Amino acid sequence: MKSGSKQSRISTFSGLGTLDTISNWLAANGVEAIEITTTDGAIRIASAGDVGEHHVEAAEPVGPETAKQTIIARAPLAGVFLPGHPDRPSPEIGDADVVEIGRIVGFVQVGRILVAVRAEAAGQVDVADLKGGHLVGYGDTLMSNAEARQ
Amino acid sequence: MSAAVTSRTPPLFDSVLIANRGEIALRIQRACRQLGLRSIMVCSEADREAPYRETADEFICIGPSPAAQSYLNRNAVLAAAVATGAGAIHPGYGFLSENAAFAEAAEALGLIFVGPRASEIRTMGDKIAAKQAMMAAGVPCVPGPDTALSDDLAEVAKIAEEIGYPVIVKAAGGGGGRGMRVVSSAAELAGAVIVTREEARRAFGRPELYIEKFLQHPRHVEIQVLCDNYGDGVWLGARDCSMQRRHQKVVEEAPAPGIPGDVITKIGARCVAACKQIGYRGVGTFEFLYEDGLFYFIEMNTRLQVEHPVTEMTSSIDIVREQLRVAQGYALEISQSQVHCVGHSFECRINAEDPFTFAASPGLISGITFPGGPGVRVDTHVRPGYKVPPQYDSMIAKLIVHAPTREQAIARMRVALSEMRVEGISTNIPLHREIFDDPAFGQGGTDIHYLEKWLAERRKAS
Repeated sequence: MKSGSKQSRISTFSGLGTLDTISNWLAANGVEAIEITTTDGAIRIASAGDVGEHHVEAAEPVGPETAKQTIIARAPLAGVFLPGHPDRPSPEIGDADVVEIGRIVGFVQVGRILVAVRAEAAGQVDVADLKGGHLVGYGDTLMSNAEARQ
Repeated sequence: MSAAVTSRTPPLFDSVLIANRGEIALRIQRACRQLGLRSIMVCSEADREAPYRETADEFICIGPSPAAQSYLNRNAVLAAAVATGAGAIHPGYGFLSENAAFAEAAEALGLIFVGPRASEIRTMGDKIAAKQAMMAAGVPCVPGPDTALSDDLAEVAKIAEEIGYPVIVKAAGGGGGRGMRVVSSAAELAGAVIVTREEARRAFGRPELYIEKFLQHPRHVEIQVLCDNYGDGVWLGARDCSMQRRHQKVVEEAPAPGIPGDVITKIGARCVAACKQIGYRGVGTFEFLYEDGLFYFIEMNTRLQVEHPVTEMTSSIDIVREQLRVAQGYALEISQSQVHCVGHSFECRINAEDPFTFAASPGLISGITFPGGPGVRVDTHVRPGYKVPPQYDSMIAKLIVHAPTREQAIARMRVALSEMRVEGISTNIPLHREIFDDPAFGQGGTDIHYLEKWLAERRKAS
């Protein structure tokens, strides 16, 4: 489902309370996701599964454009890093996986909101980076390139 | 003495997210630690290595270096508060401290906003509504109507004639010296109204203007108040902040010199009465212009002030601690008769800037020596090796002294300024040294234009 608006800014929809309300509406009405596009950005809010968990995928690029090649993924905001979706048994990335740019590699959880973390560079992920459940800050490195660490 | 509070209710939180940076972030962290509260500090990318991270219970980056994407980003701050399990948010001063929508959003998420209710912030942020509230509470205001100006220029001219020139045209949503224009004759009025209205529309998103008598030689005198959730409040003395450059305070002192105690007491009591009337909670500052023995309300700041330490020094009350206790739900235990302001205190704002051109001077502090001795306090977050980032306000420290008399406090500040050294960057310490050697300042009672004129004369002479 897509919704377009040329009047509003994306920040209108990105408040925590607003996100929570929208994701509740999605869950209540059995809608899988909604993508909101404005003149200054886009956001995809998804409801996943029956347990009331929701996630948001930032469609806007996060972090500096000149990202170092050694960093594969960084936290797009402060929250708790989860290597996989809570409704799925396995993490998004397995041992020594090679990821492409844009692939979801985990989530950052803030309250009931899950924000997808996407790879900003391609490469083989260091297994040591995959642990989750801890607090991360904006820009913290979540995954880096294994070869570069040797 | 401490403004001890009763435990009428259990504390509403045991952790505080400090939504600020620099010296005030550290000041609030210290108060939290003394109260046994968990301190959660946020930072931008520019402040990742801030020294106070070492003593924070939690330290978390919330965004890129520009303030708009970090310290002013409501969602980023709120996300950090939710993620870290904070019970309250202390906004400090500046940034989001007087943002009613932020206070509202925080409370909607179940967080305690350490400050007044959003409705009170909103009322006081609207200069016309604030003036109406103060007039209703019997607080003296600058002569002029308490309503917005109409679009009819003939009507505006009639009002200006009634007030008497010079007048000042101000934006209802303005502040900090922006959105105002002095008009000295009828011929200038129409142009000033049109230009200020357009400026207000662009800068503050609303075109409402109001008009007041322009006072020509006023001093800036303010009253510190502290109120709880149960209708009790006290005022903690007056401060004089007339030493200003471009509406930015440079030196503050408490008490305001040369103003009779009974006059101050009367205005302080009015301020507390006004707080009780509007149901205000937390700390706040009533700012007045003072001219020819009369006070004129200009605005209320619904937050902690940069210059709060001079009041702490004279009243011996830890204002930040009491602010947190009130937010926790405790009632004030101290009554007005227990507030005794003793001695005299000065504060110098130490900025990373050229002392006379005022060009910002960010960069590495290679060495720093702080003054000491009885009655000397330095509120700062910097240390040798600290890099002053270029993105934010240039204040790096506040040098505060306290002594039994104003003369002794001046002498104490002179010595403290002579001891203080900052290497690697420029600071305005040389300017402060000259101010404290100035005979007129030494006498006390200089007006808000004095420093600008003094600087202009100094430039001419050199």
